[in-house]
Amino acid sequence: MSAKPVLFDCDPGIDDALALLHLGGIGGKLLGVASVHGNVPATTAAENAVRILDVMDMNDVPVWTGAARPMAQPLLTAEHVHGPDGLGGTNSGALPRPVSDGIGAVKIVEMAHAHPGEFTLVAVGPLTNLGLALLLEPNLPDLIPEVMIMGGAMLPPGNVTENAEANTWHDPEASQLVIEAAWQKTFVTLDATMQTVLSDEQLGQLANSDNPRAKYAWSILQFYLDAYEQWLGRKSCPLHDPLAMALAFDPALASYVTYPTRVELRGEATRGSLVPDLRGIANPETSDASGDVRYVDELDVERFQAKFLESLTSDSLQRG
Amino acid sequence: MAKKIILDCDPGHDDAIALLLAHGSPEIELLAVTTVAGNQTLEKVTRNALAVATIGNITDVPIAAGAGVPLVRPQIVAADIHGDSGMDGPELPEPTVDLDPRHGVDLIIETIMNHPPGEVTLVPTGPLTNIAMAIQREPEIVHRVAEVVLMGGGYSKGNTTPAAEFNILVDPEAASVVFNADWSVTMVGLDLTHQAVATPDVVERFAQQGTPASQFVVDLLEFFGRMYKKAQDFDAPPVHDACAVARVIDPSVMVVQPAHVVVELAGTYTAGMTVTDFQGRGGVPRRTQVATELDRGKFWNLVVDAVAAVGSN
Repeated sequence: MSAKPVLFDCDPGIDDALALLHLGGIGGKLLGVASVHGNVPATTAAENAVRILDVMDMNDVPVWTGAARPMAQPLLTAEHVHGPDGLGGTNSGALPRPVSDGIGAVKIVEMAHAHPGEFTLVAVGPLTNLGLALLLEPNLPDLIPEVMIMGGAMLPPGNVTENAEANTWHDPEASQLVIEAAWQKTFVTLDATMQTVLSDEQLGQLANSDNPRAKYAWSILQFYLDAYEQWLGRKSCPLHDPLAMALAFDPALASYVTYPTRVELRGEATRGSLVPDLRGIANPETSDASGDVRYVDELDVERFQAKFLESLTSDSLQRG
Repeated sequence: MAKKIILDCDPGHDDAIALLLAHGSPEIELLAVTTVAGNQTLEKVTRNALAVATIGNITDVPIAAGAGVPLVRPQIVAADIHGDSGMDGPELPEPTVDLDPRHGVDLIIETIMNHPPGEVTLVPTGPLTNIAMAIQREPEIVHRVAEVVLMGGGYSKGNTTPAAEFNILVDPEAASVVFNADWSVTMVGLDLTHQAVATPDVVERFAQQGTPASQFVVDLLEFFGRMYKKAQDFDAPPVHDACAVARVIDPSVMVVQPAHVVVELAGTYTAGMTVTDFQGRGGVPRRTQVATELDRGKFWNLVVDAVAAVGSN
């Protein structure tokens, strides 16, 4: 397992929650969580992160509220996929602890200065916080050498427009800032995550486990499974955000391929979509390596799914 | 019964082969040839069309020049692939075939309207400017053509830009009109045509025919191959446009899948992209047939036989 701890930028969000539960289950070290608008408003997302961490007794991990809206377009949330509260309508009772003081993007910069080169930034929501952090601290890529992102689609369809995936579409300008920055960025796109749809048997493993992580996952998943039924034609779901988290700790679950990439900011059918140059020929317009994005090439789907399920259902709760 | 087609083209090396395929195939009755600015300027591609007709002895088919510029955008040409003349490589004869005095768009409309509904197939292998103009001028053609089988676009990548294929990039607005019209469109794009590469064994089959027409094809492919190696690092050149004609001759030469296709008009990096959704996300109708897989053996047999037929005339 990769030794580096993770700073997590997210918009929980049911699959965001699954990503956190996976981290907890494999004993991954978590330095902090920054929330961002996306699936739900950023304030809700931060409170949800607090609730999810409480399931794993990880109440010492700070949770900061991040950007409230995209840089250059109105806020749009996805309660129809994630439930009215972002966690499938399961939230009840008082917050176990308050959300931490501080602003998400500022905290990313501060953590980078405090732990230069020591953590991986995993971002599974719109990239607004990362864009803001890059504006605040242009040297951020020197301090955070690697970011693992769930977002984008290499080939249509997207999941919000013909060509665009939700996270890149929710803040195209921020996505472009992230791609232009000289850190190693891996985009775990729909092309990879849509391979991870769970089988009935695998869902049964979650349903039948007594592990508190699995029980919580199963409770929040019900709304998500219903929402995905309309797209998949059966009650299941892909593991978008957990895949990015899993690859941050175990990159060997996949092979990778790098393409020079832009983000379309103006298109009608394509605003917010990634434009990887798959032609394999020299293109003077994209010869600047800062636009190079790493994508999942081949994913070991079975091994990832097995690891994910084990991390939620295995009895021993390891702590990093 | 032979299928009646109008070939709307911008020769172009692969257009020239498409034209010989259409003329030489017993399954095709070539009703008209129209030219459009694309691979090179209208003047150059029209002269090339007449030269190909001269080499192929295509004397009984009207050939008319169409649109010289795209509907909205500044003109771009593909000299990096087709050379300064638009068909560099072979030595071209002085055309002995006359240019039809009508505008290409008028010839398209008259040809379609003079035939019963459902009889004429449109085969555009260049930018779609003429076809869009024809629709604007006589909307009735949409209901009279049997189908449109076009070379253009792609679903996984572009060639001129990362996202866009040349024909669509040149005139995205025209392409949008054509894809949105209420007729049957088959998109034979790069994902298909890149399977139609003229490898040395294929070139050898043409060389063995030993006719002026076959030698012309060999010369075309030799130059085209060098340009494709230089510009796009291909080991052999793809003869894009012939694929669209082959689809009309024998539909089983390729697999097609229904998709929802949108032509991007506004993007900075994606203008001219044929955004292709095979899944029909959100229940949107999948109105375009998109070619995915080529039967290479069948395809080259069609082209080789047609060029042989042209050569024996």
